Amino acid sequence: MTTVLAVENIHKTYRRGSLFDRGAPMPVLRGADLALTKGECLGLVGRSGCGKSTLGRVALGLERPDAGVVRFRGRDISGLRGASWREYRRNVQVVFQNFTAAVNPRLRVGDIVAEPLRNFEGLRGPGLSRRVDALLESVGLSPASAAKRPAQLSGGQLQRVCIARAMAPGPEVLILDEAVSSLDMLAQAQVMDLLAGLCRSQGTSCLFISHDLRVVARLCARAAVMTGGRIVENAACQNGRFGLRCAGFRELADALLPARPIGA
Amino acid sequence: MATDAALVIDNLSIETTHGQAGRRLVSDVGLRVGAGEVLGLIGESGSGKSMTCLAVMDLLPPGVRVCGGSVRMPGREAIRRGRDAAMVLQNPSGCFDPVMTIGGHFKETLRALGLPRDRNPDRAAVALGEAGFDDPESVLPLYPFQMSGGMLQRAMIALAMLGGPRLLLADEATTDLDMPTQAGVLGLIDRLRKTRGLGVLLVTHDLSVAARLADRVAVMRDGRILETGPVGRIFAAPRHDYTRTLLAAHFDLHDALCAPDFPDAGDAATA
Amino acid sequence: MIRFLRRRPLVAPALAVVAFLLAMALFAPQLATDDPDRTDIGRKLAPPSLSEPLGADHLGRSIYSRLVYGSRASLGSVALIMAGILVLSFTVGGASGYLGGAVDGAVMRVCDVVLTFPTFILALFLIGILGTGLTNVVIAIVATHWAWYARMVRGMVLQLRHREHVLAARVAGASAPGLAVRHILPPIAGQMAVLATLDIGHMMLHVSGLSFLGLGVQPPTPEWGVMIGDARQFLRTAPQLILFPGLMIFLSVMAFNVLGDALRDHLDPHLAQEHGHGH
Repeated sequence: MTTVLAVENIHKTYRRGSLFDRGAPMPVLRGADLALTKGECLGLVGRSGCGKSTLGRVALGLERPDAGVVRFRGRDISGLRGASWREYRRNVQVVFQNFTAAVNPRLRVGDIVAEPLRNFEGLRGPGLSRRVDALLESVGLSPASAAKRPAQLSGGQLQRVCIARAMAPGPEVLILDEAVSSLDMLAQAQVMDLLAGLCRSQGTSCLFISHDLRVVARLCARAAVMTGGRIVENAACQNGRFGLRCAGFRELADALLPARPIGA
Repeated sequence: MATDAALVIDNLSIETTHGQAGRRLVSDVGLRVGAGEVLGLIGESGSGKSMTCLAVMDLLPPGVRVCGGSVRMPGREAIRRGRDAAMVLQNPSGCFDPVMTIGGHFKETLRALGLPRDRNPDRAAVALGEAGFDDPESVLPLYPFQMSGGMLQRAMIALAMLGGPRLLLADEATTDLDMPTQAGVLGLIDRLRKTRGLGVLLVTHDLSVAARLADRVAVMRDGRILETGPVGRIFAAPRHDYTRTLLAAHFDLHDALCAPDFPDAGDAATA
Repeated sequence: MIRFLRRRPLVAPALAVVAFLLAMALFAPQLATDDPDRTDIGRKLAPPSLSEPLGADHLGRSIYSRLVYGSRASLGSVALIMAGILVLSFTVGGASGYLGGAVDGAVMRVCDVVLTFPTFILALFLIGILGTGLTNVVIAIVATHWAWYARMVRGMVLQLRHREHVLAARVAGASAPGLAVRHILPPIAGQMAVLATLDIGHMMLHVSGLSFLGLGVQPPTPEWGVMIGDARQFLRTAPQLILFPGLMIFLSVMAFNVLGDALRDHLDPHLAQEHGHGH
């Protein structure tokens, strides 16, 4: 069971205020540890503001931690340069919550999906179009969508475009930051099925960040709970049963709304 | 008054004058919210549910207008925004002026309602207390950016209640909140409707929110109401295929988690 | 496009005015009836006639020809000024916003210092040091205005840097230049184009104002502000000497303002809806 991506003892504090008015520093991550093994789908749950998204951004290399190490295939990413950095970059991809904000509204869908292919594989012309069409089909969109602009697509369709973009370089790791939280129920169900299918068929490891336990139960084989900037528990999840017991998890589980009206 | 309906919508149609002029956003919608009743309006994005709410509040955007039907509150000539009906939205931070404290917002609203501060010094604190704040006085000097989404939503509800409205429109009010906060806000709305006889139009795309709080449910799609009925009947015996599809997706998600090991998950109605 | 023009009835005339001005500046030799510097005291203050459409000024020079040639100085200088400001502000503001940290802090403090001075006074001061002449006027106006634009660019870059589509592009392997060109510059360019267009009128007034004071173009070079300055003494006797150049300045400023408004409305559909259609 090789560890593909790991974060060790990550600390991150946001400093507020300007030169003349130092606000109180806000510690967001206080020694978070997490490891993702090959082919696994790991859920990261916690309340809003507990630091899950920040941890995701640190694991993606978008933000540098104040302390701690991010390791890709065992190597510290802060030491990677050139080809090894590109290797990391193409193998750790992301799907954000806000699909509307995650795409450049001026570009066409085809260009959006093509971007990683252009950057990582240097593809151009007909070869590029073929790959883009194949990717669109793999997420359930017709190749004709490539000519459309983001404003012409529904939420579910746009999120699929983001997934296609993320899967384009064939990454080893996919980080999903509340990727289905902004979708309507039907779109959410479809996108969840899509993700489950893709990760299975491509063997991609997933880090599924969410505050919604139901979604994590559906997609993940393992779940970690984050409270106060730290991972407090990490246990398997099978058949909708979490092996988690900590207070953070209890709080989320107790708050779940009923499936059916009470008394019905 | 206690038995008067809080809201009656008859054959409401809304059209847009932009682009494809005359395009119907909402067609022949009929709804009724009784006093102290929660009507869940279920629909996906683009179904017209938000437009319906805006029509009730007379806040339709430029280029959109009511082209048929009526919206009325029995016992009132016209629905007065803030006094008879109040609305709470999905993104609470967007509804607050970032450079004004919460206390400032209360002062502004009270002034607009004709309830000057000097004669009602405690109104703001009382309203915040009813909204579940343990220490209302400490909240008044805060700025919106210093408050969490849940706190802002509660403050919004407190502001909405100032005018003593008969109807509360909650348009995806808990969608952006995490589960524990959502449970708290829904509990607050539940409490308010019980103590004040408030009618609530609860607009949501999440069926579990309707399951938690709604007495009756209307399902909306493409600007039309597909079916309406008591919440139990809709969940157990939906009549429309679309409703069935929604419920199937909903149960699929829920039943993944509601396994025997979890005695709490099925009855998290305590709030 | 047609619908756009119909909803904003002033845009078509504004575009026509701008086209006319550009034609004037580009084809001045062809459009002028006479050499603008040729004096002829015999024709002093001659009223409009067939050979002289707008009459002659106090030195017998053709007003019409001076107006036509004057457009070169007035418009050309403004074009140079805007180009200078935009290049400077994009590089400085863009770098500041993107790099952040100490660089950003230092640059912003410099901008703060420049911004504390009223622009006209600072321009006068710079001309005092550099000397008179149109080139120095251009330099002075660029020097006094770049800081405001740099701040705008920096603010926009700061905002965009954290937008998800920029983050997504970084994860998709975009290099810094790629990010700048595809994801950061286009939204900024649109907004900056609006600001620049709206400011063109202001710049024209600056150039004309400084020329009016005798600090810009030197006689006998025609420029609309200078023409007004020269004709001050003839306000009562021959008001057409002031009227015509004044009208040109007025028309130009109005045209650019209308275009700037239309551009802004076009780029921001929500604003356009709120303000209603047309002006």
